[in-house]
Amino acid sequence: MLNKKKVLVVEDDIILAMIDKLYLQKIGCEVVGMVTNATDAVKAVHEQSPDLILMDIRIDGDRDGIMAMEEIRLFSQVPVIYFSGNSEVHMRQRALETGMLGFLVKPLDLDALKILVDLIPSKNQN
Amino acid sequence: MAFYDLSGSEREKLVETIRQSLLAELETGKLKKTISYFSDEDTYIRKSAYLSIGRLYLSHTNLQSKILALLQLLMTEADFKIRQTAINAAGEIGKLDFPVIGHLFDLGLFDAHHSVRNAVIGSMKKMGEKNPTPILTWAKKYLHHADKEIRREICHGIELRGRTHPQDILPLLKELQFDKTARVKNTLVHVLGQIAYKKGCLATVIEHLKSWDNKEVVVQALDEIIDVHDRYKNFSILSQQQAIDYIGKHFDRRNG
Repeated sequence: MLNKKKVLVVEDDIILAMIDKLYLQKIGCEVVGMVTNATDAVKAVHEQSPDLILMDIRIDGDRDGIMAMEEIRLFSQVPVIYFSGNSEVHMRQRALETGMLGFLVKPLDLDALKILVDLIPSKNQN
Repeated sequence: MAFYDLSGSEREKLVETIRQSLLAELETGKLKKTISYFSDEDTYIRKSAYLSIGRLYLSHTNLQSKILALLQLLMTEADFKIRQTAINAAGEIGKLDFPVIGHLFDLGLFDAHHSVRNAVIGSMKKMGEKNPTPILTWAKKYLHHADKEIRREICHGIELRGRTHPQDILPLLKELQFDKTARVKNTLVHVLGQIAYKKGCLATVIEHLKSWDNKEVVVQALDEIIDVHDRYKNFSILSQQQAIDYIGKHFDRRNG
């Protein structure tokens, strides 16, 4: 039996994070962490080794989600799906440079999210 | 200052402040004030908060999925008062739309803290009055749960609907007639008394009890029904003597 894909959710709106978590669980993923800022995101990737990061662009603290990914890229190639408000769409180019899997605009299109999640093999998958 | 130490206009103002704060935090997902109101020591502040959530669910349909996620999130909080208020808020929503919050009641029914479980019973009562079909269907799946406290709580939770519509809950109560636990049996007898004193209810209850097989429980219920007509004489449609006469005429205590 395949292991569930482990997902880290980085989102400063904890209600939206909960919605993401419920949906990810529904499609067979395990949410290994929900954090709201870059520092906690980096720490969670170190500790949890997720299969995927769902990363909001605008998060708590003085670093945005892309800056958090730039630091994570120093030690991990974990796939990332960004999601953003309309006002941050112009950041897509910056996001691309961190090797993203997808860039979704809020409110999240859950079908699109599932398609992207399905692209990722879980760690035990060959 | 406690809620009811405030004047009427101050209370109205506070309720509006609570509503606005909850609305603002639903939009931002920062839950500082929400947590504070949901965990307030003053039960009336908590009540204002859960009533507001129920109203916001109806008035702001764009926030419904966030409200449901918020309640799910709050059910994971360590403070039992927050979980209790979340269940009460879910109860407000469940008066109109039970399926979207049913899973929270599955959680709350088994909560470690009795206040949360009591909130489930209280919510079942208020939801059951307005929206009986899904509530009673939900209740039915726990009627024979291995935990006697769950059976007792479910029995108690369906009572309010039975006060005005005894026919809706009598089939569920009948399923508990052979329950071996004294606390469940006592609650069953208590509920049978509670659903028999309003207009038209005694006849419905008596008629149904004729189909029950546990004569010992039926006799206890008849005694309780007669007693209720005295204890609640100011609210009963019949006097105690009229209830005794009705039961004597329509129910053979030896043969049912």
